[in-house]
Amino acid sequence: MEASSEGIATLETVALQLTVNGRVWSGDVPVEEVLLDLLRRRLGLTGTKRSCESQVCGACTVLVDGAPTSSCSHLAFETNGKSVTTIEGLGSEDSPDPIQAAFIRHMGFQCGYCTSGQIMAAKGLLLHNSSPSQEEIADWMSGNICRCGCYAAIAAAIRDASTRTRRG
Amino acid sequence: MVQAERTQEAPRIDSWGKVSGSATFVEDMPELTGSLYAAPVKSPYAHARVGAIDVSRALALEGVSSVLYRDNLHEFGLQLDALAPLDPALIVGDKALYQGDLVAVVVASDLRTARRAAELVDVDYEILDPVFSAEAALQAGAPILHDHRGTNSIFDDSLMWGDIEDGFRQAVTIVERNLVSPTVFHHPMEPVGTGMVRFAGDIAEIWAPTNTPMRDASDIAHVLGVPADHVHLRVPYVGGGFGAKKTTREMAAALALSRKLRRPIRVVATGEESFHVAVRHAMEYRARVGVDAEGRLVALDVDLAVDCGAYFTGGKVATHNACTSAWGPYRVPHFRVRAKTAFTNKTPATPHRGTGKTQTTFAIECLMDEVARTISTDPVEFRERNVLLPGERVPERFTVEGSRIAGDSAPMTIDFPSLMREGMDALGPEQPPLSPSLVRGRGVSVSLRNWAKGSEESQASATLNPDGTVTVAHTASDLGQGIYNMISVVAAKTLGLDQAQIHVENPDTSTMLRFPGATAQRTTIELGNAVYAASTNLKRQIIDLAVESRGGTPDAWIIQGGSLWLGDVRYSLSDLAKEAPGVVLSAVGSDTEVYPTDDAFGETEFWTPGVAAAEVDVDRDTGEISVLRYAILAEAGKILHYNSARGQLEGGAVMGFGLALFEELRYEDGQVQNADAFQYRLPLMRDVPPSFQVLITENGDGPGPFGAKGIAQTSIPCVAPAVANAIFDAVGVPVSSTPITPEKVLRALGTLTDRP
Repeated sequence: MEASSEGIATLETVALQLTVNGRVWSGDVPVEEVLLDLLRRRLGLTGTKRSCESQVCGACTVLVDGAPTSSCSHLAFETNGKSVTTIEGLGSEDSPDPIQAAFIRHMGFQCGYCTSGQIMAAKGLLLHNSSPSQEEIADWMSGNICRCGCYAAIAAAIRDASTRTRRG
Repeated sequence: MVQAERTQEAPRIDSWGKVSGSATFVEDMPELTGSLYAAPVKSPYAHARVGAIDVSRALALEGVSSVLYRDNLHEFGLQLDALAPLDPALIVGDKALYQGDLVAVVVASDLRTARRAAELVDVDYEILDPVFSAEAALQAGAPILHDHRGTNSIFDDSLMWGDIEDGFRQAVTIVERNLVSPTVFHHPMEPVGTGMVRFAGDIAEIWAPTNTPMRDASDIAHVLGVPADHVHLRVPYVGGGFGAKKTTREMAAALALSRKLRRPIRVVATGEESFHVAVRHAMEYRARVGVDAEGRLVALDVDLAVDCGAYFTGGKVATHNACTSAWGPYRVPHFRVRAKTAFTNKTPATPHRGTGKTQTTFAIECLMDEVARTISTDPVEFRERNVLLPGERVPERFTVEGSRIAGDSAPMTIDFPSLMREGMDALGPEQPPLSPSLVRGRGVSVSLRNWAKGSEESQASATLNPDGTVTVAHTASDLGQGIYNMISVVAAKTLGLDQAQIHVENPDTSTMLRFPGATAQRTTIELGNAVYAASTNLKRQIIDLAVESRGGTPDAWIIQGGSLWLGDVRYSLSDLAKEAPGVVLSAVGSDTEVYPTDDAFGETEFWTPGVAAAEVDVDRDTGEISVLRYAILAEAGKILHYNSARGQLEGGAVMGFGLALFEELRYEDGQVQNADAFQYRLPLMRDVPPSFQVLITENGDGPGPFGAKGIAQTSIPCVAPAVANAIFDAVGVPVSSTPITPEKVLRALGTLTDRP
């Protein structure tokens, strides 16, 4: 049987340069490639998770120039010239980011699948508003689904991180 | 009762992995060399006869390696009916029985090509009428799913004591109700059905998120026709399960393809496909309940209709659980439940957190409020009058499989009246709502479950490493509950080591360590006891070796604070291990060493209660419901890790808010209407009540390590009835099905009616 290419068009690629966790990355990517695939497959940054792939659940949240973004629904080329921060770009085990430390203290996770996205969304919130109220936290974080239902602990972790950060 | 206090405890051992994104889930595993990708071909119809299947266009696509489907199974050494009777066959034969039924699996060099090729498989479907409820499926003339059976009825279950007719003769008030719990989806955040497979020599290797690795390995071995010990299933971190995670048909088919192609294969499921793998059993609970002149329950007669979906993947346990919980925790002298189960053209139903009991708890607890209000009694007082009190016994005892056991059941140990009062007190003083259109109400609910001992023993092994650390192996998947942390806590405490000295392995079925599955809130008890036994056995070996090399008597040696001590002299475990090269200290332990019993009941029986109190506001104009205050009460026996216990209770309640207020997979016009993340409404952070309390007591009487019990499924069943009863209290009319939507509230109030 002769091989066909039925229905599969050769993808156009586009040159892209962006900063990921402080490092510059450049290369050619297919125009339809989403940021999630760029991060997970090309850069091996698997801390960002794939879940609903429709910008509903928040598991794939990363920061693009400081703004929480669903990487599953964000085309990679749109990040050209921008700065992307993923969970790998936060703290280390010896020196965790305050929000990571607060998630550990309050156990703001169970299965952990949504946690990277929760932490990046929380990070985005605190960058934007250093002392959010309970309502502001709930409103901002309602784009990140946690099926294990850790919301109370996540909210407590965010309040705690915000207090400690302000205290400096 | 002692109220548990939050103590200083070490963070869970998986903390850093999970807050740093470095915890490895199956999709995060590195590519195996030469890996191919699989994509499924699924039936777009709920019920269809499958005619010709033409795979030529798919095979012709560049990059496509193979297609496995009905007509070429023999090429893969497979048989169509390779799975157990009534379970789905590996792949669709001449009929597709639900939307998403697996028709073919395509394998290609990359995922995009595989998915495109799957679209190119041409299937002739003759669309048949579907049936979407158990009641409809059991009516004469209903479309039959499994033609050879001639009926959609699967089996009947029943449970009874006393004399039901005699009971109703004593009743002065009889209430009849029909309460419905719909089909819902577990919706773990990690898609259901993602995995990686490879044949290495004659060993089938699978990396998959599942809560029953040993059972899955045995099922896969059966499908492939290989010995069970030739299937090595490894479980990385699992992104939630709630009953939905298992080794799927796609993975089994991929293994067969891998065996033929000699290439590793990755199976990637989407979030949307996950909706078509597993759902909860929908149940209809038709009840007739009688109370005497003193307001005491005298008779309860229940007819249950259980919707199992297209295949029988969990109907027995769900139905049995529903029967054994249909009477709640009440003193009912004359009781009967009769359950009918049916196939319908819906996604196959599987266990779902609190399997079978969540549906009946909603029903019985709504029913109790209705009866209480009918006889003008406060619902809490009505429950105090009728709930089983400490020392009372349940009239009948049953094994997990449902057969009667002679003798008395264990006496009730739970003081429900005081738990209910504590729950209502936790809501604080009543205050009026803030707006004139709002009405406020409070409700309570209770549930009871006993320990359903797993169908086989649980085992773990503990091995001393040369560096003085101990490795614990087992086959219990951590779906997020904190099982590995529980293992670490139990092993460290039993051995006298620090948790940093304990390594907990991921499940690997090649260890052949047995475990029935991380289900039915049994893991802390059964695996915990196995870890306790393995650790105790290893400790004995360590001390024997110490006696041999350093002298003294076994009684003189202790292990404490991470070291060995003989009197005041401290020895390190690593020195001991190094001094005996070639000697491997390793011990297997079984839960049966701690509780030598082969049935769930008798001396080892124990009870876990669920109690909840809720306060809601309902807007009489819009029907909008706000849960303002919610209190969860639980009895943990002994808490091994407070944050994990709290997390399980809060998490169960949050899932319960979804079931109470939002979640339903709607089947209409031959199709499921809302099977995607956009349309299937899940609970969000803003749905958590502003006041959300967890109160845990520790009686220290559980059969698990250090007196622990399982609690993971005690909070979820109470939510829908507590919220429903609070709504009933607020608006004065009941709603008889979940989810309780604003529309249903307005209809119950009579302010919303269909246009004529």
